[in-house]
Amino acid sequence: MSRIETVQNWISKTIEGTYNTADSTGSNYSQVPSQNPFFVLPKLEKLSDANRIGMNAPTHLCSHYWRPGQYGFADDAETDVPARLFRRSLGGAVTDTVVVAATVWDHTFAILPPQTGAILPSFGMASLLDAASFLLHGCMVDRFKISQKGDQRAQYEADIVQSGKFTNPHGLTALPVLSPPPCMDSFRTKIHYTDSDGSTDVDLGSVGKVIEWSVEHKNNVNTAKRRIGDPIQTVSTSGSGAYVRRLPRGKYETTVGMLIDFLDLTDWTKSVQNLTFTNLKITVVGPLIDATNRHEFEIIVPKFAFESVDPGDDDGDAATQLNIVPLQDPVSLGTITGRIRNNQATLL
Amino acid sequence: MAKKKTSENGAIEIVPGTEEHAAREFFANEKAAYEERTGEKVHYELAHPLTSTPLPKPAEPASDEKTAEGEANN
Repeated sequence: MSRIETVQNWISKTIEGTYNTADSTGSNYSQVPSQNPFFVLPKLEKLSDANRIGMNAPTHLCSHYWRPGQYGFADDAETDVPARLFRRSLGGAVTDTVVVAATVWDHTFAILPPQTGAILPSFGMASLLDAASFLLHGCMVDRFKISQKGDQRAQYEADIVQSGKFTNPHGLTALPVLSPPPCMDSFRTKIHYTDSDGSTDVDLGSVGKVIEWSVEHKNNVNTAKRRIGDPIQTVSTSGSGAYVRRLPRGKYETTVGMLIDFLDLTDWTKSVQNLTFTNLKITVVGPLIDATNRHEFEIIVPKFAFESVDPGDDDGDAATQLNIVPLQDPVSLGTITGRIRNNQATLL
Repeated sequence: MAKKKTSENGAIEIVPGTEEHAAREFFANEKAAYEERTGEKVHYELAHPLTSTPLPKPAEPASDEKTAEGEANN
């Protein structure tokens, strides 16, 4: 293990009650599983007089804003931290449903409707590598992607952005170790949708033709909402910079794609006919929770069409790339929803 | 398309079991949750629908994989 791989990152299991006020209880944090090592050093933007006429070089530097932090996690998708990040990227309210009393729960959520507001759920993130010990406030999930290729386990990628506010050192006690991630077996993934007739179930997994798939949701969070009167944060006695008070979501984008074995012209014909399908469910399945229920990480596209069906290549074999355009769901008003089944009563 | 029911003023009635009713329940829930989380008042109201569409019935699932008895909980 290299030195940078000793870094540890945690996110809060709670949502901030007030923006830029991260949870201060260490046991309310979960360590983030990631294969993407980085450590945090907040960056202060600076201004100078270098561009003034008659100047060959600046005479001094002035502190400006703390640059909004941007950090990326990537690892196996599972129903704990990656599921929280997925839920926070969509941003809608969570409905928790008991499947088996005190043992198994379902958590369903949708995209925060822009008509409701632009502020996604925010949370705290702690990062530690030697002396680089920081608690970052006002974190949001800017981008979440889940994908799977061949026999590999489904992978998640999450990009976090934050306001620029931090605490150094992080000041949290009893931050927990990384929980052993459950085995989310690649071969158990299920992919279904309801055909354009509204009743026929199409099970892409049962015919064994899915080579790879991906779902990506980008929030395009605006990190430059700088305003007069923004709060100031000082390091030591004079290293002062401002940070933003709001990180509103921009216009979100959802991309869904699938590469499947080329069998016939059925999908291509559906594409040129602009047929509409419902309830595309991609379910990543994990280990048993009780005798019958397994951990499940499900992405649902309530209504969609094939934007294009293009020729593709799978190691020399013919494949087809299905470019799926999610249509506006008449109920949730968004493009995708999510469902997580696990052994926890809540999923914030 | 479901048969249109209209109220006395001629507007479509929003009845349970329709997409329009489900959308309003969903939006009210999101609105309440957002107001509670952010403390900001949400003023947006969904416009009244012109049609009424029954919620789709879930498709019958294809044969579901059964867990083999005694399979290890890995």
